Amino acid sequence: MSSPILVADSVRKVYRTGSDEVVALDGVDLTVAGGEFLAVMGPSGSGKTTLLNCVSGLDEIDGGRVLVDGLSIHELSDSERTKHRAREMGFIFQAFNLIPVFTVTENVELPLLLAGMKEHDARARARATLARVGLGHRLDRRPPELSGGEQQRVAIARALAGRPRVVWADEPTGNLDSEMAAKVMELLGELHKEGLSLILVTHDPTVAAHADRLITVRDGRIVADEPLGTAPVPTTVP
Amino acid sequence: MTFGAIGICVLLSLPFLYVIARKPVLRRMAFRNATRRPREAALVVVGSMLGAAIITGSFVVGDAMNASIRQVAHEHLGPVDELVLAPDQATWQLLSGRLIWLRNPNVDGVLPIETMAAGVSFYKGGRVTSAPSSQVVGVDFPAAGRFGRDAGATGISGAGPKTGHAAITSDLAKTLGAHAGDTIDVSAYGSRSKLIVDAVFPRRGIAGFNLGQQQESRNVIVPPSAFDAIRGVASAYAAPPDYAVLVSNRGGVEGGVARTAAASSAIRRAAAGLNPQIVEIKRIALDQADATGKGFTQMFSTMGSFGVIAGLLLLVQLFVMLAAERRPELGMARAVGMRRSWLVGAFATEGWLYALAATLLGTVVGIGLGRALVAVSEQAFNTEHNQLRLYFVLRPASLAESFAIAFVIALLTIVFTSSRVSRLNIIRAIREIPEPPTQRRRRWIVAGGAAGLLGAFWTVSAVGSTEPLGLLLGPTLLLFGLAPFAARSSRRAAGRVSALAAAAVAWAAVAFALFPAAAEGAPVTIYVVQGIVLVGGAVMLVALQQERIGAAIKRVNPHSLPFRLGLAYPLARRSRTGLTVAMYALVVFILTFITTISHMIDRQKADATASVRGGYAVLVDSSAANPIPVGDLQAYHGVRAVAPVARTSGSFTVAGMSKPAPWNLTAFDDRFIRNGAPRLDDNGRFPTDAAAWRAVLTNPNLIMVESTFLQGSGGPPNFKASVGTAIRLEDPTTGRSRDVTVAAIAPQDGFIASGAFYGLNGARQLFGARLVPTRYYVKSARGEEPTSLASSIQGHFLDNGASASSIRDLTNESFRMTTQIFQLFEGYLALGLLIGIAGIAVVMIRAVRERRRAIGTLRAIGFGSRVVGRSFAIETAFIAVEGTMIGASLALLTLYTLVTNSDAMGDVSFSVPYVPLLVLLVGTVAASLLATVAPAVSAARIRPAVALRTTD
Repeated sequence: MSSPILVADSVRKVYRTGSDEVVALDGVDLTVAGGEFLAVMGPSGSGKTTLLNCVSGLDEIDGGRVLVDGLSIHELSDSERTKHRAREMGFIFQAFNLIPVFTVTENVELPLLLAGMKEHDARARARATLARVGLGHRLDRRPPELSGGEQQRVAIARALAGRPRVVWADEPTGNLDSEMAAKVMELLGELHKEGLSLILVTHDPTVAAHADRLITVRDGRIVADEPLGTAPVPTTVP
Repeated sequence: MTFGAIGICVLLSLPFLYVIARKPVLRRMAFRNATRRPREAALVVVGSMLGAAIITGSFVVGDAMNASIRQVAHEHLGPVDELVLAPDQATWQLLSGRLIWLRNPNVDGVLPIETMAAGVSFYKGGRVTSAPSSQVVGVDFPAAGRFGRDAGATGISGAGPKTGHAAITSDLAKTLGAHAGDTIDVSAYGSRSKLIVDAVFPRRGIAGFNLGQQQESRNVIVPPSAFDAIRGVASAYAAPPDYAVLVSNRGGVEGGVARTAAASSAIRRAAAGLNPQIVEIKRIALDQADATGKGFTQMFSTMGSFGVIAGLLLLVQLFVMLAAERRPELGMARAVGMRRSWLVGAFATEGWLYALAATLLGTVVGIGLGRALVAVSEQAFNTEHNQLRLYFVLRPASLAESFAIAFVIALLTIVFTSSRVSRLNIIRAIREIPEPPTQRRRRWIVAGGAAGLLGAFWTVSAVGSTEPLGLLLGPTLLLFGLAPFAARSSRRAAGRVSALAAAAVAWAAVAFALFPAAAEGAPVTIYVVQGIVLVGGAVMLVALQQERIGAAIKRVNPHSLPFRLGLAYPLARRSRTGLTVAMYALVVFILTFITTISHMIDRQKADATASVRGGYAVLVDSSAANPIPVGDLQAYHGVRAVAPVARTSGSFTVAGMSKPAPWNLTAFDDRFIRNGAPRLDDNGRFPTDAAAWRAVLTNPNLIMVESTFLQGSGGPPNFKASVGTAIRLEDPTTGRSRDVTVAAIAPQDGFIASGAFYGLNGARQLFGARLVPTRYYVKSARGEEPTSLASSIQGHFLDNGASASSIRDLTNESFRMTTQIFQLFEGYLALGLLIGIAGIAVVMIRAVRERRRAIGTLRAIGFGSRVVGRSFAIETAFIAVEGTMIGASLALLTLYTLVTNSDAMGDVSFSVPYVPLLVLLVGTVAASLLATVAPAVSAARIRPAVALRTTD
């Protein structure tokens, strides 16, 4: 087994609303190996997205420790953590979250420019990545001009263009129809086969079925952790 | 007017009051939305109140000017409504005898009065103080106290001083430092009398009687018997006293004006055969107060209208922002069954609440602004040779009117915007999907065709008649009408519409240069329309070409991510950027316009001084009762030559006037020309200035006036005298008149106030013996310093009431006052900048809210918080710079075409005030950046996980 890309140790996250406290993550321990495809499932409000945000460094934690590729990300300053995200991570969101005033190419080249790549090289890489996800013919369109599936493929291209060590995906197929969702998952599967570490939050068992391993979260805790690949893939969404 | 204004407000409010009273659901929506986010509500109210403040401020300034001039009428005239002039003492006595028995229901007082110019001195403790420009007023004290049945309004009390005694006005007492019991010396007609001051009267009514425009009245008031004793023996060079009978109408100081026509008829009947000249002096004074007040209100509101329009654009922005934030809620409201009209009703009712609060607050702020403007104006108007005390007054009618204007404008904008924002697709609104561009091509084609036809007709008729509004708007409308046709083919739509917008800008900039006759006498509002057309066209052009502009700017720093991000949004959101750019451009346009005009006029100072002074260095005025003998002045050390001129006030009538208006007249002789008369602005059909001066001297049918002749003094609206203008000149005392023609245009001479120039012989035929030279143009000896020479002459000829000044100092003082007034305008207009800056703050606050998720994404993929903050600063700077550049460059272009192609601006030459403009532009951009600090910081602080959180 390769060295872990993620180690979460007793991670705790509490949301405070006035005098109320909601424990969103309650001492979560999790290790993900490099090149592994991990799916996170659980009912609504169980803490899946919070787990993803906390272990990726998007959100602060209230206790515990998170190592991404050996680096304790919550001990970094905001600026260092931001740079680390730009260099080592890619993100895919349910709502695509593309910048509407940038063209497709400009959206994809953003993280490359952030990482300090020359503009010419960044543009070439962005175009190549877009071609890789099947959008070579939509380079100069703006996101509102694309379908949902195309927008999500742009988001995947943006996440991959910087050749990150790990990609975090939060409900990447949540806004897509089943046909589009299947195409997107097929693409992610191919990328994973090429060695990409992928941590994906989903409600959908058909999506989770593409992963190597599935963890289930309930009430801020990991209640199940099982390898996949041999398990049968349900044909309908419950 | 008050009730009318309030009535309009109430009428327009009725639908909203109905909603509040009878539609509980809409009322709840309106009230709860208005109070749900107090900070947003405060932003809307504060943002929209600035327009109301600008409007109210302009009304307050106009009222102050009106009240101040009315106060002069109270102080100098009191109960006097008509002034019946007599050419000499004998006629006056006959006239007095007739009128004193006048019994008429419109008249409640008749008072004979005689006045003569005098110099007054006061010796105390080895120190001499003097008041050269004073007058002796001869009047029967008990009769004066009863005059007009209002003892308080006459300023006179008591039985009158005995022989060797006099009463003086508080102004004279203050100038001399004299009190009751002191002895003063009064010099008139070569005789000097010592008088003991019995009483000091306030400057009011008969005591303050003065036909001059200055607020002060330095009067020595004596009974008629003493008046004759003081007068002594008149020299051949002195003007005789003025004899008049004052008439008071029933109805108080201002109320009696309504009876002026009837009283004048009664006077004319009573004085039949004596041919009296009746001057309706109170009506003239009050008309002038109204005209000046309205003029100031119009001037400030016209200039302020740029700020008001910017305020409306801000209001639209604010409302669209509110609607955008509430789109899902509005969508849901429609989804559960709310009709669109209800939605408009709820939104508009909320807007009505904002408009009401904003207009009330704006009116209060406007009163404060007006108070400040009045205080600063008073400073500007009070110089050595010009005193005007301004009275701050609040007229309920004006406040109601300004409130109504601001409220109606705000309300109409809100209703229009509410109607627009309520047009939404329910699903798109709920799911926060952007609305696609509207496809109303057919409607646009029809509207464009109609506008184009209307524009074409208007253009044809305006070119023929050089009507300024049609000349400006006709072609603009035609071009606007062509836009939908130009946009039919989507491939080249932007280029074609851009060309039309560029043509509209070019036309608006050069229209008056190509048709200078249209600009002659055009109302000031035409320049507001010109500014709006220019800015509108330029903003449209820029909005259509944003991609190219952005591409060019990006080349400056192609690798900077904040630069790229900062430019992306304003370049993509054309309408919103256009609105904000227009706000900046409008305000900066008028500010640049005023700043540049002020600069160009100031630069003209040296040239103007040279024109006005001709070959002379010093101007000396002396008492009409004891003028300086020319030989004495000629022999004075440092004096090389002297040209005496006679000054009087004539009555002038030009086409379009039903009654004559007073204007100064200076009568000159050959000496004035010989030593170098002023340089003319236009010498008409004469080959040289000297030839024009000589023609006017020798031909009594010719006259010379300045370009501002009769402006602001009863002349026709927008009147501008030019060579060939026909004028009827009349002596107000005798009624003798002559028709004359303008032969040339003299320079404006500010405080010298020469008025019209006319040959002395011709003037004597009209004005008779009363016209004596009392003013002297002095040519100084080589090396003599004019200011010192003036001071020395004034001291030497004190007994002659000499008042001497260097001509250069007089013109400089006049320019200083003009500059200060322009600075006042600039300060007032700068208020409009606050609107632009508030606008950019609103846009940025809105941007932070709208882009919360996008900012979260950028932060997630590795954008640092500083990069996000910097991108906001770049976005602000881009909009502010674009707006200020458009406004400034269009203002300069307009002025350049005006100055170089027409004579609307006189002799000024085009010049750019680089430093003030740089300060204005840099200051505007810097203030805008400051206004963006808060939203930029809040954007930078957005935590990615919080911004992106959806569930879990």
